[in-house]
Amino acid sequence: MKPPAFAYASPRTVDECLALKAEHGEDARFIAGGQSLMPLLSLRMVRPAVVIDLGRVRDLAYWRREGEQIVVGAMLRQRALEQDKALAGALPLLAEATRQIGHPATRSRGTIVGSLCHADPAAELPVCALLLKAQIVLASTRGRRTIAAEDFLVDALSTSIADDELVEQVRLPAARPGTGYAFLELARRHGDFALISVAASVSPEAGRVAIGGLGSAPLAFDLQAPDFAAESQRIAQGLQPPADLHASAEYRRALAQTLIERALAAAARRSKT
Amino acid sequence: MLFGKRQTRAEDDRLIRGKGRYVDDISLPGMLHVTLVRSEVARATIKVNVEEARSAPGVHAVFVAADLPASAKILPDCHPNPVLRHPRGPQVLADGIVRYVGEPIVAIVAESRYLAEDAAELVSVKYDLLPAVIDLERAMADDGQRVHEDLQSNLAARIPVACGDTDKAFAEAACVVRQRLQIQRGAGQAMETRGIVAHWDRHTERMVVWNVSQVPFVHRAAIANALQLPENAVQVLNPDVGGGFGYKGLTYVEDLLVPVIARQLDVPVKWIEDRREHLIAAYHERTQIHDMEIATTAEGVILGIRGKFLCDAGAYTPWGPVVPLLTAVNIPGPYKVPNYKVECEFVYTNTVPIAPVRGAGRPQACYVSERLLDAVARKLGIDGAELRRRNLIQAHEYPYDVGFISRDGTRRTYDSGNVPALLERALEMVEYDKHRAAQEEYAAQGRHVGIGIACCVEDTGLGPFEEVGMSVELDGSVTVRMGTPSQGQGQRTAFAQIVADQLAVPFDKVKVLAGNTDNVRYSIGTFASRAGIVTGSAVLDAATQLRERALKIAGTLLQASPDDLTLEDGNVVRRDGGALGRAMSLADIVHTSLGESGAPLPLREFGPGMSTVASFAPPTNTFATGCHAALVEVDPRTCKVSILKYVAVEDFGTMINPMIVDGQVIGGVGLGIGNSFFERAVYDDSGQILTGTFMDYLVATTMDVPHVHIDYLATPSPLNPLGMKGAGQGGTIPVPAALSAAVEDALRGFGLRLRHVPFSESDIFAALQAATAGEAA
Amino acid sequence: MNAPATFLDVTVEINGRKTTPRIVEARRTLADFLREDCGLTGTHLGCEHGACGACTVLIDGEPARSCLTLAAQADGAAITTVEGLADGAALHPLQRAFKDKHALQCGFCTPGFLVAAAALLRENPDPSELEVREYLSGNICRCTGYQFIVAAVLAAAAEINGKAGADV
Repeated sequence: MKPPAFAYASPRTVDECLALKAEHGEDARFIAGGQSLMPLLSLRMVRPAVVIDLGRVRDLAYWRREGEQIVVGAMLRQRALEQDKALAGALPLLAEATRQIGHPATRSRGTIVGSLCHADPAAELPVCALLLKAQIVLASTRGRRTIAAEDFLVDALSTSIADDELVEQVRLPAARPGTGYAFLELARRHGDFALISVAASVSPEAGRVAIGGLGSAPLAFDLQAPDFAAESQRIAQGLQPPADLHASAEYRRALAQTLIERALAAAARRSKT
Repeated sequence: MLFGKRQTRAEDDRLIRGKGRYVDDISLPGMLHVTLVRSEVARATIKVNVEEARSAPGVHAVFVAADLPASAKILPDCHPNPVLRHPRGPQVLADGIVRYVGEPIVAIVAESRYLAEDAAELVSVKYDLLPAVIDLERAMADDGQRVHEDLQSNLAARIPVACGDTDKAFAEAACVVRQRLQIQRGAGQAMETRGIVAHWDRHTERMVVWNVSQVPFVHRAAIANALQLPENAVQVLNPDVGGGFGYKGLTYVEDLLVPVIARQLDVPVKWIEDRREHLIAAYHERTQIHDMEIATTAEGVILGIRGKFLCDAGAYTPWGPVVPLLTAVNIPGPYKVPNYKVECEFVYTNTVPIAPVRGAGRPQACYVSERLLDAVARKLGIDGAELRRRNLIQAHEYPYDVGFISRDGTRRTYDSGNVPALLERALEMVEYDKHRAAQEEYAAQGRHVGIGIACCVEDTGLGPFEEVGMSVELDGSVTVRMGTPSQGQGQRTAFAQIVADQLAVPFDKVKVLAGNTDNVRYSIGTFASRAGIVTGSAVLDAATQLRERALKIAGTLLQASPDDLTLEDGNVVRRDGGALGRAMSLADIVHTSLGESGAPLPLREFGPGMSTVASFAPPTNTFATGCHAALVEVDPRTCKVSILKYVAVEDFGTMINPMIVDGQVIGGVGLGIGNSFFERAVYDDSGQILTGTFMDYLVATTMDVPHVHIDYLATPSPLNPLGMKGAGQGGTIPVPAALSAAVEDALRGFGLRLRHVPFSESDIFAALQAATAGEAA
Repeated sequence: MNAPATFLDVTVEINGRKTTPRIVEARRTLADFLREDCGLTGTHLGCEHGACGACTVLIDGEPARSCLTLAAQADGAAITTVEGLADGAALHPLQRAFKDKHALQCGFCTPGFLVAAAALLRENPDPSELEVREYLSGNICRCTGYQFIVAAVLAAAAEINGKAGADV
């Protein structure tokens, strides 16, 4: 299980990254933390001609507050959500979800943006991004564009990134007082991809849930009524989760209902503190 | 006395510094790397084209079936048994036909593993697909699809075991319960995969093979045969081995293939199996489907057990019918089953061959008998613990004649035991009465708490023998040589404890050498919880011989009666504490008895030195026993199971080092938890294996294995001088049965019935749905 | 900007010692680089797809799976492997505790556990049992059932904390 041969480049600036990607297009893959790409390489399930390492690019491993938004750069590691209290305070939902992503040794390499780009249907961070209506900033030699998470996450392992584009940053709304957030998932084992994951936000005015583990891109729903039990049943009944080795579709649907209800209840509790 | 002490291990200093030496750490000058092209389909005729691969960068050679000598085309059955009517050995490289996904077809030899894998992608295999035989029951249906075309059916063996008159027992029974129970495919999956380094040693003119074998002498014979060399021209060495768990105790086609390549190319070659290969090509175990019934009196006393079961053989039979045989003889367990009749059909399918994995057929047997008892308890309204009390063999009934012939051909007789005491201790530790009484209270709080119990026996310490060589060196240190290698069991420690006591030398002056076929003349190997007992008894014998010899020589030199002498701190002393004529150490005795260079040997009647060879041959198996109890809580909505408490009470007879035994028990429970909840090798209908990574084949982690509360009650075995019983598998065997019972008990209000292991949250959900729909019997 | 290359110079600091530059193929994993190019075979490969933790090392003090890292990515980094935990003859408290508590059997997963546990204690010097279990849940052991590993980490933490207290 050794990766196939490829060429490696380690540009120092975003512009250099974009030039390389423009030149090599779909034959090139960016590597950030590598926690999704490396297994695919070792299993020879992907064969890029060029791997472009973002690790040495200046000014990508940042987060900053811009008004009500938290801006997360492409090389910010997932561990920052555990270790940086200010970041965790601004993005409590992501901080809660992060503790369930893999393990410390993968989170210390894996990046927040990388997880969004890989778009595993059972991954945690795309669910959070969708719930929070995150904005994804894509860059190429052609310029920059910003798209909503909903439009970015197309399907399982599929995003709307063009062949010449780099996701430079993701912009997430900072936690608002009076809104509670919760992230719940059930995996076969701690750290595994979720069978079903649910992110929820509840404020006096509104409630919203996003659900992962559906075999597709995650789905989000705004509550139509304040009855969590009824709403979780309504939402879960409309889901078409997959059946696989680890769980049946029926189980996943029932689990989604339970986790939606519990996540909403937890978020509602937190909205009052 | 070091015997019985929690001695820290002699092995650890290297291993904790990262200075272990495992097979992948061995590198020889000019060494080439082997990778294998394996079948991507379950059953097909094949045409292979390797021309492009031959000319790939860094490639030195490519081997296909036609390149192998006739002696190395088919793996011989290394464990022949007449019960196996239709043995079929694996093809070393597939010759025109493949029979399971993962079967080796081509070997690439290149300058690095990276280049070898590049070249492997250039091999073209044209598959002409044939319908695959995957489903165990359909394999026995006569639809004409056979794994081996030359056989009349897919039946490899039919194994009957019986005693008493089951027809009569069932006719007279007040209670009969019938169950269909299924145990699904699992695997050993040691953290170290398999690996081999082989080279022709031009100096000794021998094939030297480093591998991860539990049975180096078996491998030596197989390799010598494949290479058509005398056995003395083959040396098998085992470095540190990263876990064995039984399935490394077998011979694999690579064990022959890699030395053949090294011999033909006359260069050192290394093959390291990667995890994907380990998951799809290292032998599996466990798959069985049982249709069993139990007959009891109205009071729940067992009158008989009867039924049939299917056991999946996989595509070949490299290790005889050991697994189904062990299941068939272990179902009665520690219970009195006066009338017993089971028949097993051992069935070929287009899947990886099966072979013993820690537990080896016994977890299945325990699962069946304990699930039947739980069903009887429910039907008769008798508490599960009470039902077991009524049926366990009582302490005074040992030795207990089970009534039929065992795996080793002897009348199956439990040598010693007291399982009723194990049960009572386990109940006490899990606070059975308290939690039983509180169950309704828990339910009122919305908590679903349940308790499960399972008891087992394990035949351990199999024959025929092990041999040990032992020498006292000139400096008074002791060297112990044996044939049974370690895969992490701590033999260097445990056996040194025996020697240190007998020869009164410090623990760290005893060096235990294993894993080299030059160490002793003959050996069988480390498996079936036997090395501690069989090799350990030979170690005791050798050390006792040397002790007696030392005292006799000292007696002669000191003109004292050996009976008045003993050893203390490496010195000869008088038993009565009196003064000796002169101080004499073990080193002095060795020095004196070896004489001086050029002079006649001084003690001619003794011969030179302090060295001996001893062997131990147990009359038959000794039986370890155990009782496990689990307290669990289940969330009926998510179906997540939490183990609140896990108790293991074991009888391994006398223990050399309880710390090491604790480790065996807890590690065994860890595998058992995997077997209960997680570990499942899955094939689809076409024979594709779906569990080819550690993301799909799940093993238990730190978050899944709880603190295991252990106690021991010993009934020493009369079958060996140390009174030992094997401890390698007892931790694993009862776990699936105990946890199944506990989860069922927790959700008893829903009528949950579990009929297979492992079971996931999703499986519990499905069983709950079925129970709600009234489908549960 | 350097053009994409299939071979590169890699220089790292391993266990406090800077290596001489080595020419490494771009696709070479850090694990293979450490084991084969640098002769540090204490780092073990259990799965090569990031699912077992046996190959865990520290990269600039943070735990990482060396099978999921390219050697090229580690160029210029400071790597700590299991061989670097002891201070010469003096074992790291975790190493001593692993021996005392019987936290290893076959020893194959042990280097990964030791390195991961060292990272844990650096971050969280006084972890609870659950915190230890959570932190180490990405490291698989097939021999021990984990109980004595957890006990060893807790014992090492107690020892380190006891010493730190005494030093103050």
